[in-house]
Order: sequence, then structure tokens, then C-alpha cells
Amino acid sequence: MIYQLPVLIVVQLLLGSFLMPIVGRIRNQLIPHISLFLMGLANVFSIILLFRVVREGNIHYHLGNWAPPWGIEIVADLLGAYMAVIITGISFLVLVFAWRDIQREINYALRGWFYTLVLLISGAMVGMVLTNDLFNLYVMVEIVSLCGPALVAIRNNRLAVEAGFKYLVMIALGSGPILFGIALIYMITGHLNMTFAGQEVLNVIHEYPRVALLAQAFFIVGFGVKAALFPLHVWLPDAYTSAPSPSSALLAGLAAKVYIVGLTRVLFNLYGIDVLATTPLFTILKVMAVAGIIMGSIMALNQKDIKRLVAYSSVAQIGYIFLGLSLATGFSVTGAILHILNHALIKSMMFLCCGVIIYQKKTSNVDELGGVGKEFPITMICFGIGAFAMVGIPMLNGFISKWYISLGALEYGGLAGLMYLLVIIISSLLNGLYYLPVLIKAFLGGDSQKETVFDKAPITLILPIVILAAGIIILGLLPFVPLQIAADAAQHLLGQ
Amino acid sequence: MAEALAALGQNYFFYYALILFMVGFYTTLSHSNILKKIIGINIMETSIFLFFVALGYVEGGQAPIMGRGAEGGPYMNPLPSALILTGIVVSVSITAFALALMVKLYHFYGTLDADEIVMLRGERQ
Repeated sequence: MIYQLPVLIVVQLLLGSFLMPIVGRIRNQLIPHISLFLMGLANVFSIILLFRVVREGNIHYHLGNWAPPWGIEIVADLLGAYMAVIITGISFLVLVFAWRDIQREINYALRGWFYTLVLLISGAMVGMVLTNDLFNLYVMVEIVSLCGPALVAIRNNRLAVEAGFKYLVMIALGSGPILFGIALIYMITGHLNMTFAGQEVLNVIHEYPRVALLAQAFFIVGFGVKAALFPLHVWLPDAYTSAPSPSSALLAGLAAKVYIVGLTRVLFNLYGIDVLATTPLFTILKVMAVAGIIMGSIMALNQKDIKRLVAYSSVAQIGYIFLGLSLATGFSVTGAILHILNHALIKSMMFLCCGVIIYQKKTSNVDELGGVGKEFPITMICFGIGAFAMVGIPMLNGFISKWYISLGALEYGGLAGLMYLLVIIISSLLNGLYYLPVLIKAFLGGDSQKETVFDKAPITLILPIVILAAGIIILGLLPFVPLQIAADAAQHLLGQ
Repeated sequence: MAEALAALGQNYFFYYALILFMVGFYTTLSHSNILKKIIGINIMETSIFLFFVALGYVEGGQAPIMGRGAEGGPYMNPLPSALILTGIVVSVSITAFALALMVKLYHFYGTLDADEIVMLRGERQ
């Protein structure tokens, strides 16, 4: 059974999602229990998978027992198994949070569909990070892409539907280029398996340099739109702001990262680092990443809505990940892979904190949140931990990944390296500038007569947040295990 | 020059697909009518299907079915057609979902013009 694990995780989540509407027909109350059970099981399987991959190396799985050039191949390598653990773990916590939260945020009739969508999107995300087949990747990308707007529009009010439609149009514009890129790669190599296509690209790249370059451009645009790389991020603030809080946590924490992993896999596996270095790809990505880091932080500065503020900070954080990848040194890629985990923890926790506050106060305006820290100390302390981790205070996990990306910038060398270091430092200061006012208002502002009361929110809302905050501190103090995995995965990507 | 023209003539469907792709992309981005945006997405995706299917076409090739006389002779590559079948399903789902959201949008805002919807949304906030 252990050899079926890579495909089992995907299949049980997808099957579970298709079963949910039927379960809803029989007994509506069973849906949350069954989805939580399936997601927990998937998380246990992913952890076992990661252990095995660390111990014994990559697991190759041939679907239907057809060998690779013809059949679809699933490869559980370090990056894929590591992402699978993150995806299923955070989805599990989000589902726990959603148990009570969606009773306020989503209509009764639509609640069952929320679980269907969460199971579907998680299954597709795990499939996307594990697959080694280009067309299979495309199908998984499409499933994630269609679930995203649905998770936004499920709130079913005028703002959410508009944001969902905008998200859908942008993401549909992104899937066209991805399919075109795959068609071009298939045209010049005749393979859809990434390993075989990658070997063939090296043979034919001198014959068709322009086609290979065009495919690369298509991949960047397609995945860039979906991952909200800076100038293509326009759908992001509205979508994350108007979605229900669990959906925002899921989309911001996981969906955006998974596209980055998809892009990394396609580019590094197909072209290899040597070919990529000869094309202008890394320069373009670096410019867009730096612009995203600075502009995302600046746009977050004057936001009045707490969810919109957190959403804009996502644009900057995605910039960090792209910067780390495009510097393409050992340290920076390690930092980028680690930042995927760290940002997934921090950002989903912050959206869940926003969810608790909106659940209780029924407002998301920063100005009206004075003194909220005295009413909900646990929630706001966790929010503060997240904010400090985002700024990069030592002992918290955000510091480690920023440190590695900065080391990568120094390793990159020269004036440019120093400039990237400066960008990271400036952006950290900006992060502090827009998070601190919220914290100051929450703990020092407002009615000082109010005495400290324990958080009155239900335990299922508080528990996921506390677990994520504990994860942030633990990974800040003892980052060794994920760091080692990220370093090995980076080495594998860079082919050293 | 003559060589380039000959290459163009041989691969005319590639260029045609690219032009169609850009037409679709431009339509989606430039029109403010929501229905036209959805039509633009469809044009864009159709152009890719055309491109992909054209890749597998072989002049005078047979359908690759055993026992139907295709053995020995040239036959068409069936893989792109099979893949595009999946692509069409994806495209149909995107279109259906977008149309459903369009109905909702009309219900909430009373218009199908994206610019007007942005204005109406700003007023209510």
C-alpha cells in the first residue's frame, strides 16, 4: 500500500469531494465530520510519504502501470512531498476553523458545497505538486483555478460575486497561455512527460530556440497571473477581501504557492538551470519580484480594511518567493522554498485571525478595531506574532527564510546583489509600518475602561489559530528539519 | 525571402492560431461587456485547440485504428485530439461557470457593463 501513497492522497480527496453532495442528501450534519476525517487521513499519508521520500529517495508511480513515455507518471520528490504535507495540514486546520465560521458567512444551502470545494481544491493542489506529466499538470491547474473563484463567490453577495467573476476572467486568461506553452513544448519534443521532454529540449533547443523561448514566456504569463506576480495581481485584493475567511486563508496560504511550485517544476525540469541562465527569464522575474515587493508593501500602507491590508501584503510576500527563485543560487532557492512554508503558515493564520475578529465585531475597518486586543487577547497576540514574523523578527520563522534569501542575494554578488538586499530590508521596514498601527490600535487604543476578558470565540475558531502560531514560533526556533528538506530540494532543482 | 514565405505557407495554421489567440485575448481585455469578455475567452481557447489538433495532422494520414487499413501507411497522431477533448471539457466548465456568475451579477447590479459595475460597487462601499 505504501507504494500507492502518492496517488492515494489525491484520489481520496477527489473522491471525497464528489461524495459530499450525496452525503448531504442523506444527512447534512455528517459533511464536516467526513471531510475532516478525509483531510486528516490525507495529512497522515502525506507525512508518511515525506518520511519515505527523505529516507529512500523519490517514489515513481505509473498510473495504470503504463511506463513513462506513454503513461502518466507521478513522482513524489522532496519538493512535492513537502508541499503535500503543507497543503493537507493547513487545509485541515482551515476546515476545523470553518466548522463554526461558515455558519455566519455562508448561506445554509451552500454550506455543503463549501466542503466539496475545499476537498476538491486540496486534492487538485496535491496532484499538481506531485505530477510529472505536463497535461496532467494542466488539468490539475484548471481544477484549482475553477475552485478558487467558486470559493470566493460562495459568499453570494454583490461584492463576492463581482470579485469572483474578475478572478475567474483573469485566471481563464492565464490558463490559455499555459496550454499554449504545453502545445509548443509537445510540438518540439513530442513528449508530455517532463523528464523525457526535458532531455529532448536540450537536444532541440539549438534548432528551435525561438519556440522554446515563446513557450517559456507563455508559462511565465500563465502561472504569473494565477500566482499574482506583481503587475498581474489585480484580481487578488478584491478576491481575498470579499471571500469568506476560511476561503481567503486557503487561497492566500496555499493556492498562490502551488502555482509557483508548478512554474518552478515546469521551468527547471524542462529547461534546466543552464538553459534558463542564457534566456532573459531570470531578469524579467527579478524585476517583477522586486516591483511586487515594494509596490505590494506601499499599497498595503493606506488600507482601511484589515483583510485588504493582509491581502496586499501577500503580493509582497509572493515577490519574495519569486525573487528567491530567480536569483537561482543555492541559498536563495532554499530560502524561497522555506518561505513557501512560512508564508503559508503566517498568511493563513492572519486571515483566520481576521475571521475571528469579523465573526465577533462584524466590522473589518481598522479604525473601528481600537481596543480589540483587550477583548480578544489570544487572537490579537497571534495576529501580532504573525505580523512580527512577516517583518522578520529573529526567533520567528519569517526571519529564517528572509535570512536565506538575503544570503542568496549576497551570494549572487556584485552591486545587484546589494540592491536586492536593500530591497528586502526596505520592504521589512514597510511591513512594520503597516502592521504596527493595527497592533498599536488594538492593544493601546479604544476604551481603556474595558477590562481584559478571555476570548469569547468558540474553541474551534481559536484552536487552529493557536496551532498555527505555535508552528510559527517552533519553526523560528528549530527550523532544522524543513531547512534540510528545502536545501536538498533546492540542490535537486539547481542540479548540483 | 522565398524560403520564409514557403515556411509561412506550410505552417499557415500556426500563424492563424496565434492571430486568433491574440484576437481572443484582446477582446477579453478591451471590452467592458461581460458577455463579450466570455466570448473572448472562448475564442482564445479555441485557437489553442486548433493549434494543438493541427500538430497531430498528417497529410493523407489515416485514422489510427487497427484493422481498418491503417497498418503500414501514414497515420495521424491521435494524442493531441485526445488531449483537446479534455481541453474542451475544461473550456466548457469555465464558460458555464462564468455565465452562471454573469446571471448573478445581473441580478445584483442590473447591468452587464463591467465599468458600471465597478462604479456601482464603489458607491455602496
